[in-house]
Amino acid sequence: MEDANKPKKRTFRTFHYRGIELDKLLDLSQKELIQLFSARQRRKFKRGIDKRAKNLLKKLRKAKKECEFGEKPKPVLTHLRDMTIIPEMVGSIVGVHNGKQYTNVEIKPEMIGYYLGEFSITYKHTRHGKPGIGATHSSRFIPLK
Amino acid sequence: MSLRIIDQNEFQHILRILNTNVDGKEKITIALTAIKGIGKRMASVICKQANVDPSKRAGELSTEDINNIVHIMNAPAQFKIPHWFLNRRKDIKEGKNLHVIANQLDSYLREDLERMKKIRLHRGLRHHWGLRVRGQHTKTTGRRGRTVGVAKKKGA
Repeated sequence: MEDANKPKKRTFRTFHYRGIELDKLLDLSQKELIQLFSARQRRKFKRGIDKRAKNLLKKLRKAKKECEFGEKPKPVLTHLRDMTIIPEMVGSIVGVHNGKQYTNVEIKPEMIGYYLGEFSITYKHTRHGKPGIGATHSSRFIPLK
Repeated sequence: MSLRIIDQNEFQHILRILNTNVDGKEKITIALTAIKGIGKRMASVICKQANVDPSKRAGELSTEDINNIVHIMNAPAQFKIPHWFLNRRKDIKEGKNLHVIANQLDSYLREDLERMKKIRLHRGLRHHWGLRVRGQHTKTTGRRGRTVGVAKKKGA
């Protein structure tokens, strides 16, 4: 990429969420942050976050603090697929339940505003094999031989 | 409908606006809809702001009229077009209210899909697999692209 104006730093562009950079996002109060989100997330925060979500945030903070510098924090397991990703969570590793197992998702800044569950797919993508006999109406009476 | 005598030499049969071919024979508001990102409503608002007579045909417009129109299309907010009229509001990267047209539209769409795929969003995966994204049932619908069939046993 070009970036002739930023030769000293790395070559990628800094991340912006709706025009605001990550450091400033972390400084915003919850009220201001919500204004950036889309309608559904705004509604969710307006209606309140319950205790379990607050617990999750606490655990994430703790895992981040305890990890050494340069290493990834320990994965925090959760069933809360409906938790919206906030700037505070960026960098953590969350094990999101998909009904059966926990999918480790490393939270990147591009994921802000989406649900945790959207990153942990709940089904196995079907690759169909050849259709069997009787799958279509026309193939039902062929196989006498 | 009044008859108007038009100078045949100055009438342009195909205009080229914003990398799209615009048909000159149609009325200006309808002709502008040929541009991706401009629909009937947007076109009529643009014509109003540009002070262009909407009953004219697109080929009759002078070049400065057309430049005016393009100017408005590129910066609708400056010309008092309200933000709820625009098609890309609160852009996820820049937070501005944009109205994307023509090639820009295509590139923004591609960027959106790429972004979703990159972060492995479920929506992005569905796009990548060519399946329905918005939660529709796919067992029996959407067959146009995909064929279901049983292979006939080879010769008896």
